[in-house]
Amino acid sequence: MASHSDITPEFWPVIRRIMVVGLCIVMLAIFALWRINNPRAERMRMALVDKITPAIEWTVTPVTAFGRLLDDFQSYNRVYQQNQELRRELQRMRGWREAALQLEQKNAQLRALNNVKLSPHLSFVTGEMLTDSGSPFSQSGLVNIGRQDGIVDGSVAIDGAGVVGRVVGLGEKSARIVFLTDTNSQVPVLVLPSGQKGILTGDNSLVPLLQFLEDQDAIRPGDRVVTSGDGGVFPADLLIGQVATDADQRARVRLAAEYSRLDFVRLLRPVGALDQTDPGGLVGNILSPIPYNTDRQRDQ
Amino acid sequence: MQIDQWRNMREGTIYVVVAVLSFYLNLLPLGTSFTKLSMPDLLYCATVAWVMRRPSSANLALVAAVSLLADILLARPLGLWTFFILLSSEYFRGRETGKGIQMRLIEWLSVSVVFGLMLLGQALVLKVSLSPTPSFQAMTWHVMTTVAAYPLVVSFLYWVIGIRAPLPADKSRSIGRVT
Repeated sequence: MASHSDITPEFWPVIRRIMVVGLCIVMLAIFALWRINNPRAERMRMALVDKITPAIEWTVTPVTAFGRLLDDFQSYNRVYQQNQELRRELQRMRGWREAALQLEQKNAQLRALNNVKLSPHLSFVTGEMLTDSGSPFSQSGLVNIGRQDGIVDGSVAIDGAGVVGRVVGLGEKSARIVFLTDTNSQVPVLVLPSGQKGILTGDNSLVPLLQFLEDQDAIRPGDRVVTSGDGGVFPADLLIGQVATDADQRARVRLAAEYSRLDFVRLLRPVGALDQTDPGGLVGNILSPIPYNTDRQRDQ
Repeated sequence: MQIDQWRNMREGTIYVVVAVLSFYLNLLPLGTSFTKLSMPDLLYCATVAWVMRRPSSANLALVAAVSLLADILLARPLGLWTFFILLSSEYFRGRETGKGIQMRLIEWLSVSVVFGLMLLGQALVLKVSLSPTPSFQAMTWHVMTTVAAYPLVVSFLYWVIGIRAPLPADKSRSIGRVT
């Protein structure tokens, strides 16, 4: 571009036009590549993001710190009121703690009676949210942990309270999390007291839709929604949120994770969970499945 | 000619800084993307305002490079939005901006209409290529915030960066725009 001074002015517009058209074609070719070979393009994107993230990281920190400072300052104003609230809450929690301890003991006894095998525990790594997607059409974020920390594609992200999303792009030191609110997010869930199974579908709003329920009338607002573990991406029994209905009487889920202040998220690493996809043909004849308690077999 | 090139290089560098800053603002984890008000497309505003006022400094290669970088970092379909940014920057390059209030309103209106058309075009391409398409409501909000942000971006360029109406040198040499 810099050498245009030695080209005669008559030719310049023509050359320029060729360049414009050429660049446009290149961009459409990149888009076509992204569309056709999406995994490879996304891997290339993550490789680049991996390079750029360290440069962004130190600039993001002061901004978030400043935001937190403002928030803290606002809460400073009503610190007395908050203190009173916390005291009252603590009192109530003491009661609950007692109840929980008793229940735990009872539970342990019952488990010992039943000889229940529990699924192997999940370990987790906590990371800091670096950026959110910034685009109004996709809901995702970047965290500062990646393959080095044992994260795999599809790892589940939770904050203290509930599921946030899952990993869709993986770099060495960073990972992209697509939130439950994104349109690409579909999670098999279980609505708890009624045991209805459904799919939680994001629609770029803060309250995702609950679809494909067997019986729409069996659920009611306030029901707990947890992951069902179907499909094998999300482990079972992670809290997602509570059922709510919108103005059109469609079932939605109010998420337990606090998306407005996602500073830290935990990424789960599955440990030693054996994926049994076929029956053990090596041992002998294939046995017919035992009808009782079949879902426990996966954990063994 | 030599002085001219120096000025172009300096202004080109400032353009890159402003453009990177504009999409960096979108990246910050401020939680704004979850409210109904989506972040405006500041990169579009800055680019279009710049090419109208300084057609020769924010050249094609810079616009394409910065916009492609934004595509990569903002998790958008690669290259598609860059394509539309290139088209719009070519359309607006070296266009009259004028001094009067009427001219400014016309500029604002045309920038808004072109942005709406770009979003529609993008949605169309995504639909044809069977990719997930943003909802109409989200697009409407995006247009509204971007339209609202344009005068702010222009005044930022005017007061802080000092990018004003085209210099006489830019006007006389009409190589900036393909006619």
